[in-house]
Amino acid sequence: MSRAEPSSRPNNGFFMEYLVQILGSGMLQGLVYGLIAMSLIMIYKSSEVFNFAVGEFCTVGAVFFFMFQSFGFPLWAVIPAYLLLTALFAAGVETLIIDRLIGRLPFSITLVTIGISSVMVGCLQIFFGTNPEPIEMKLPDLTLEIGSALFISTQIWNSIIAVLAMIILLLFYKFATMGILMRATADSQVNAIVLGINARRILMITWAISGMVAALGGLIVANGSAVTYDMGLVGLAALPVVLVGGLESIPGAVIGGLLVGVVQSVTTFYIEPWLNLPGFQAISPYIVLLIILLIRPYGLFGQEIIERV
Amino acid sequence: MIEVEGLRVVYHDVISVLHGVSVKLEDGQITTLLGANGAGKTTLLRTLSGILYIYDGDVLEGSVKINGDDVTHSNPVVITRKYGIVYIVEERTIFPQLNMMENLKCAASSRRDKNVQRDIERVLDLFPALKSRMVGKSGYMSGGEQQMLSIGNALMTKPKTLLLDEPSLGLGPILVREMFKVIKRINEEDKISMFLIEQNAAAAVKISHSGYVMENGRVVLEGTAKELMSNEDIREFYLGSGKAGEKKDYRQSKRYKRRKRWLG
Repeated sequence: MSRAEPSSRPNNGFFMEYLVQILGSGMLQGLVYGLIAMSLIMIYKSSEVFNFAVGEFCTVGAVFFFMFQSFGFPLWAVIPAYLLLTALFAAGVETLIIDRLIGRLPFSITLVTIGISSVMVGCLQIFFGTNPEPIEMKLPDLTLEIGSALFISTQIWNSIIAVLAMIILLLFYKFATMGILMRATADSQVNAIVLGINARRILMITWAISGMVAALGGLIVANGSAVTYDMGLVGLAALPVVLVGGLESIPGAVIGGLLVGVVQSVTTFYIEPWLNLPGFQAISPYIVLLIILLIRPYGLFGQEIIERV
Repeated sequence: MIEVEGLRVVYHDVISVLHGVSVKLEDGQITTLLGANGAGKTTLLRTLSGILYIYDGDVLEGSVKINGDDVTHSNPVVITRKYGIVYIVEERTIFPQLNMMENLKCAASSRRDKNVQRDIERVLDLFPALKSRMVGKSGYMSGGEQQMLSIGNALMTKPKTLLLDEPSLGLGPILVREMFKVIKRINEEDKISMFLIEQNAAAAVKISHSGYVMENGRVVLEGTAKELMSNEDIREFYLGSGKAGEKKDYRQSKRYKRRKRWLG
């Protein structure tokens, strides 16, 4: 019916026409958030520390990528090199700072990560500078057109990278010996220690892998645009994702990421013009978060403490 | 052989828990540690396994020696890996979010040898009940199965000494009997020494070679199992019987009239 008289109801046509586009780009963006959220969740799971420096690890990763790229290395060499370097960097931060605080309250360590984040921003300003630097991955063109919806190639590649990383991470946690050990240590550090598992080393490896995941996140955030010293703010976007999905759940990060991405883009295109409130999309995830936490305080997939009845 | 000498332990720098405890654990034997709640038994085991620091505890005096090596302030991971001491904590040494096989494999991860599969079979042979719990998180197992898995986990590390903190806690009478039988079996067949904390004193003393009684952070009595069994104070306060063979009823018992001789 509405198709018969499109001109008289322009708004409706406009809404429907862009729905695919809006949901699609929301989901693609959400996967990026999900990846960064995973980095947070890994550390939270194993030590109940909320790593506020995750955004800065993203930036550092992207900076390392830019560095290797400007050396003129080919892409297949740049990616493992920069991931490894960021992993080493994260492991170093863990050894130098976090390891010394083991046994303190997780909350104290969480506050320390805020400090780490500030120091890292400062250092990035000094060593990297305040100029945005472009990074570009030369990958085959995957631009996708569905009807009138257009998804640009970079965005699609970004989400492919995110999904691949997520799948690898999930399989690693499920089947790899180190992954199982990481889950075990996250479950009970004391039990791990009395059974001869070196919990400290496992925590260091957790930070290293979490740093790698953040580095991938940083790369896909900067991909196609530029690395800036303050792009770590994207870490804040991962905050509602983590809380929506549940602090301990890696699959929760995917779902939470998708949800937040979609909510943001839907708000941008539909609700902002309607309410005439530009910038409303930035707080929309938090409104969803509030509603979800009211219904499920653990988040959608948060770990409930096992209680036998 | 594990020798503890004059151990003085405090928590949070001020709460004194052990005031000079000396204990000797012979290789290949089961040693029981009896004592009321708050006597410091768990603290002693924490000190032996090196995890005292996790609870903000400190050894002020005394030493723990394993075959002559001083390990008083050693890293717990080293104590487990090098000296084969595994502390089975009261809350069960399992990883609740992992399934049974993952638990056993994790526990075996500190080993370098390739006989893990054989030891898994050994654990299932000792605890056939675990065979039916292959799938599902171990946190959902019954209390008895969790205790079995705790001991199974400990066995996977190829231990020389097990420190057992109330293995019968929360188990029904039949399971308790089973549990003690298995502990005895592990001791005899796998040549693993045991240090056993128990509230179920009669059953514990029966399977052990020697024992200690702790009260208020001190060892007040020690002896072989036979000596403990025949000690009147032990019989009265821990084994719950009066003079040999005599039946007691609650009306006659004057629990607080009799003073324990060792407190003098």
